[in-house]
Amino acid sequence: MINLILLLVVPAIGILFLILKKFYDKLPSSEIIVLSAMVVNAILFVLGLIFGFSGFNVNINPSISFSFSLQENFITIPFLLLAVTVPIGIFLFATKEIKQSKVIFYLFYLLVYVSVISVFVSSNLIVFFIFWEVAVLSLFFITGLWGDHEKGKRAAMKFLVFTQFGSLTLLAVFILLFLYTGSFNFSVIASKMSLLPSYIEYISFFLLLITVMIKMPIFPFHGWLLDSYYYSPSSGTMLLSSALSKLGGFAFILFGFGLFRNLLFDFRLPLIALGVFTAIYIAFTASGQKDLKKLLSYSSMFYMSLVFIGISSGISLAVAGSVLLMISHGFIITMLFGVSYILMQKTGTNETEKMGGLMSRMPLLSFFFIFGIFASLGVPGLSNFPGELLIFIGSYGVAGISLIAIFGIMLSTNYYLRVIKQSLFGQLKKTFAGLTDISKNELLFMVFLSFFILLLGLFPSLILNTLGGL
Amino acid sequence: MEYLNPQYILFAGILLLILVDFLRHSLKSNKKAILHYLTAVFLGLALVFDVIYGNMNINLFSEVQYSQFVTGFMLFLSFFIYLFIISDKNEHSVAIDISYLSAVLGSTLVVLSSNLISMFISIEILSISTYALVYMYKSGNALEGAVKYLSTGVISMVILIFGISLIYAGAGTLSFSSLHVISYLPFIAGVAIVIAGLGFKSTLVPFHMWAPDTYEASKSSVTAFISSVSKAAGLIAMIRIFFFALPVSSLFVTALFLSIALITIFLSSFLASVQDRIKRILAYSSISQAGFAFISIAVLTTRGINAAVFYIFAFAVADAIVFLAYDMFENKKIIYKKESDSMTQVSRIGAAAFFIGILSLAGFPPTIGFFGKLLIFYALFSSGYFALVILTFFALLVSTFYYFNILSEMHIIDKIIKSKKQVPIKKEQRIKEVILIILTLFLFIGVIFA
Amino acid sequence: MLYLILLPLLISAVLIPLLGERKKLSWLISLSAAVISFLLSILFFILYFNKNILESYTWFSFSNFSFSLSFIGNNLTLFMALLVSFISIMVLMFAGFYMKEEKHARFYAEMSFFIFSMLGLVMSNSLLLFFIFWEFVGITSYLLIGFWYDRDGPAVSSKKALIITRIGDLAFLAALVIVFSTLKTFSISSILNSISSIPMTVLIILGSLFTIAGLSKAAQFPFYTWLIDAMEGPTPVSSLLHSATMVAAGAYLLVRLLPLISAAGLLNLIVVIGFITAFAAALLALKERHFKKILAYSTIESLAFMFLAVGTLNAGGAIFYLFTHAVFKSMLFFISGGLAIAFGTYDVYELSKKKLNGTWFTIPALIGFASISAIPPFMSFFAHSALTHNFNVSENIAFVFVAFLTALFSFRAFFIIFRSKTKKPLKKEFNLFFPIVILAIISTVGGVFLYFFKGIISIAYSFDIFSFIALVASLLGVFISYEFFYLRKKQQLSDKIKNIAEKIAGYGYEKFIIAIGNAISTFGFYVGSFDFMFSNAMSRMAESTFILSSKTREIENGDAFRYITAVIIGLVAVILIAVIFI
Repeated sequence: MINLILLLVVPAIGILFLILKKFYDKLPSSEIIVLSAMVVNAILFVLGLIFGFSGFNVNINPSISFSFSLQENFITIPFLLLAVTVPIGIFLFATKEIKQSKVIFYLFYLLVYVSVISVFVSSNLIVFFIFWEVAVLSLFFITGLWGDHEKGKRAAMKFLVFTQFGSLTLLAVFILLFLYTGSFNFSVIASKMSLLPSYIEYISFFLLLITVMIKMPIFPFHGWLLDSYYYSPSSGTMLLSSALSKLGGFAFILFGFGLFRNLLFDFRLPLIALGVFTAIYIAFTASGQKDLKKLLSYSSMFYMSLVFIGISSGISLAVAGSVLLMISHGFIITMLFGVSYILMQKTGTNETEKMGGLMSRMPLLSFFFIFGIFASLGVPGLSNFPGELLIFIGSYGVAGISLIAIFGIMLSTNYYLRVIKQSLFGQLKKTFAGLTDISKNELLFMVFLSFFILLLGLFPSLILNTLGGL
Repeated sequence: MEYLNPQYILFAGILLLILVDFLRHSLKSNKKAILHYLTAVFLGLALVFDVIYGNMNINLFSEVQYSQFVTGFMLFLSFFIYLFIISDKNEHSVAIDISYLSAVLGSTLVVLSSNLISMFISIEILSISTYALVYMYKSGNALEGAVKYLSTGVISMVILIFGISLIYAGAGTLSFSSLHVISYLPFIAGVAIVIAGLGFKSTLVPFHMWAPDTYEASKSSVTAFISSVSKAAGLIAMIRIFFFALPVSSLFVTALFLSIALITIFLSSFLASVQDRIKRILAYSSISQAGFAFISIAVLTTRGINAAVFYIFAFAVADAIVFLAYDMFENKKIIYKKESDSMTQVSRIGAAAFFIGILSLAGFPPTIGFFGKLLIFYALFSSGYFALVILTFFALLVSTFYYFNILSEMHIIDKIIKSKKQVPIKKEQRIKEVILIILTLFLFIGVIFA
Repeated sequence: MLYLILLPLLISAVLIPLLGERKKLSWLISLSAAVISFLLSILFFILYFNKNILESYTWFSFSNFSFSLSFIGNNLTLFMALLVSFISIMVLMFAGFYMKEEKHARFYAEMSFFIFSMLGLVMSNSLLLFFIFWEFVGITSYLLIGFWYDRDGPAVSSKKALIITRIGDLAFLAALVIVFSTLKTFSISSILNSISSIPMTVLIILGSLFTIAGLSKAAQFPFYTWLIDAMEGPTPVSSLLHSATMVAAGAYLLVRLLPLISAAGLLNLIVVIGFITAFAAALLALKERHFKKILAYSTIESLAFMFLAVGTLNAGGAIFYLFTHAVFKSMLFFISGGLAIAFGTYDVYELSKKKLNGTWFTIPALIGFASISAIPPFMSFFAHSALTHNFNVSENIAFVFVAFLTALFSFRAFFIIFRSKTKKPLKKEFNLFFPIVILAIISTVGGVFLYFFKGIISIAYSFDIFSFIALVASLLGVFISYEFFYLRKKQQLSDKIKNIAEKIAGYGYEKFIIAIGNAISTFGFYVGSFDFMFSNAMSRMAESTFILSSKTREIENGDAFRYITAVIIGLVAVILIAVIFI
């Protein structure tokens, strides 16, 4: 049995070593520290999959039911898979991208890493909230300090204020739950949900919805998305889209589906309608973008709106599909943002119109770009497809309108193909004649992510089998 | 053993100081340091005895369930703030030591008083000593700040005593144990006026106006005392009167409290966000913290009071840290928000403590500021004030905005580890840093008191 | 065991890129893989003859739902596998001739994957598996059409091809979702067994979605435009796409789901669309100068014939015509490719100047064009007789006109290209010559297959009066082409015909499609700017509150008297509130 605390301790040791490194120069380089911490964690995770995970519990203040307890719940494993693997890929990429104050960046990076994992495994809501906030704060600093020089800080502030509102509403939900069940422990709350008066249930459900809609994000709370995705450093954007937005989905499943299932059933039609509207709206928005990074930011939101549709339908099949889609999207969008950053570095522009014919200079990059786009478009055999299929099957049974979201996929096809055509196909522009293909590090990054995209695409049962509790 | 209470210790300390100072003058000795150490020893002793024996318990002053905790943390903070003050190179007169001790004595007495008159007197002791403290360093506009403090303070005292007299007219008694709510108009007006009078000490809008000026004018280490210990005393007095003395929660008290609290929270948040000078931002933030504590008192339930007491503790510690840390920066002329960049050059540990202190003020986990807010929301929810909580969220967002405006300029963690150049660090700064570290630790372990 | 047929090509698709650029090796690998698949298909065809073998594998399952992938081995599917692998061998051989100068690895890897997907598609029994291969076919065709990515033409047309076929793919996806939600199964055979349990509205929606999928894949009206542009791709790709694979998949889907489509009452619609497409394609082909594009229009028309057969519940006719068409169309594409390599042009008028009559191309080309026009004794004449078996009178009459137009445009191309005589023999390369000859022979004598075909799938054919009227119409068409384009008599009249065709071409359907595309992106642009404004609105609101609060700052100007005033005001307010709420 692997104790869940180990998954937290290893990165914490990594953080400690990073700090100690300032005093003892003999320690191995900071990259190796971070990487080995994450790799050890991944190995622990695999061992855990084989031998099972055991919980962890330390009481801190019983009067407010605050105990540091970790326990896997019904959707932990898939999210843990995402949380222990994707950051390794992003890190391979970040070592190249981040040039100044590397060590501090790594510090924040590990903080995000450990807090995302902790959110997924914590069973005490206070612990959940603490790490939820630490993740937000760390990303605030990543965006603010390493992002765009002029607008990074502003974007970070916008991100913080928006998501902070979401966090506060989540806190309110937790307190309400505590008020009526007398505990912050997830399993205790789940068993005492009947104690909640119905109006409290309504209030908490709507507060939770606000949290989720801000975090994922869903129209009309997506105002922070573009700025923070666009002005973050690319590795920050990857963290935002692959890890942070998944926290929203995780919370929605864990609480919305896990605790307020009755209310979810009552409201599923309007919620699905909202999701469908968001999907179409954001697909149109993305079609209007000329800038690759903006386009990808919006498209990331598009897939999250599909996830929203899936979870709101309240059918376990669709929820399983949402989990699948979230995990797979985490890998895919990371890869696409990576490609977009490399293109930006090589061509000096983010606008695909100004690129052209890059495939002849960069066949490998083009391969992974097209691969990522096809994966994103839900080509079978790649990881998005099973998720989308399950979501649509599940939500169609609830509301036929969910199929309208397929039109959004049509629009995505349109803009993605436009991107391929403008950037990779066509005649090579003379200014790009001297470009070289991706470096070994970047290749490793791409191969690493592609492996998971392919693996989950071919064997979705790997994840679905862990979702038996849904 | 019966008389080993902190109050007696402090009182003995004051007397002893006066005596020793007199002796020193007669001996024409110039060694003031021994007196400072003496003061510190007395503060420390008071803290120890508070923990062991609790407070004094006589007629006009009696303990209630939380008072040992409150006086405990007051003494604790006072002790460390004082250590911080004396670690400074600048010598100060013995009068300051005496004022400091009496201010601490006054604030513990406020917590303990069980009679309106004894409470009034305790507040007076506290106020008069703090006027002196503000004017401790005769630099810049300290005089202006002290005078403003004094003038508004005097008026508030007048108001307070007027309110007390109206209450007496209505109830015929001043003892908390025999007070009760009666619907006699002058009595009601008296209660309202008492709120106004106490609002001055607790910097509630609209009685807060002296605070930013005074905070800014006085030395930051003194501000730390005023904004934590002294303000806590005012808020605890409120609790004592309105929860323990007038136990029937009546509509008008709640309405008054809530409206004052909301106005305080919102106005101070907005005002803080438009300031340029760090200290003014901190001053307004401190006002808004008082507003949060007050909103928790407003629900007038045991949960609310517990939350309020814990919150007062939380923000008092955080405020003390922030102002003490800022004291180090102020010496290096870091005044404006934009300059917060160079905080780390002064002291890295100071900057880190400042950072964590602000996180706590902003209510981010895992600091006790977060747990304080958690308890407050819990109290509000259990009394059914759902909309109110959502409303305060917006104020919290604004506060997040201005707090992080400071922090994002700081590049703080960046520099804490990065800057490799070793600035020769003076011994006194080391002491200050140690104090800050100890206090900062409390921001994390303080949750056990919740 | 049916997956064995797919395996060699999948292996080749993976192996080739791993080996890297190895000149002929990639070609050999893919060709031998195709040959092995062909042999396996024969083997299974014999083994499973007149049987119905289901092979099912569970891909993944969740709670009670199991998502299974299944192959079916029966006469129809294995015959299709046979056909696909056979044509693939031919095409790959031809590719060995045509793609000599190109990069091999990428091309043959994609080709192998394409054939793999097509073979999988024809044998799937589960709609899910069908869809998977359907998508594979779509994206591989995108990559193949865009093989010359650095030329502007393929870059645009590959995108267009995928976008238009993707409409069908997504319709298929929607249908898949609906089917599974209603019947909890993907298996085609069980779906067809339980049609009666599906509510009518759902059935109509399902049928329409499947029809849209079929139409878009088969490049039928209103989706046909992509196929013409797809001619920008390499010729082996065109021939593979056009003959037995990609486009045929659209018709094949409807053949497999014929009971469902007919239960949904969509047959008449399909017939109407088939005729519209056939007329439009034949007319448009009349003005075309590009050899491959003429063939493309002919493909569209032939596909329309298959839809006509489907629309008249004549699955056997459709499949037999599919077979026939695959044979002669791939041969014609080989010829066009061979000419293009030899003379560097696809323009029929340019080719006309090269004096081709008398080269060894002439006879196969004649066979090919005669097959398009369904002139006996070639196989396609017999195919037509099977095709029109279920036609009613009005359909037959309409078909006569189509037959006339078909003969007209096909022989127009033939007569223009092979107008001038030459003595100079052209070089015969084995990789070009061999497939053409084989296919030409089959086209010629293949009519006899019709008799064997009865044993394979149920097929009915008749040589009624309309067959002969249609034949006469075709011959008339041939004669008129001969007059106009070979002898160049009555130049004015032929110009007029050309003008009419050009007018039809100019009716702006193409422009309409482009306009829709533009409208979407313009709309997207506006939504995008709206979103930008919307996102900023919140921060603007926040900013305005800050501006407001900066005004409040002036209240505190440091004047002690004002502070005291504030205290007094506050005091009064406090007392007032207390009194009000008492």
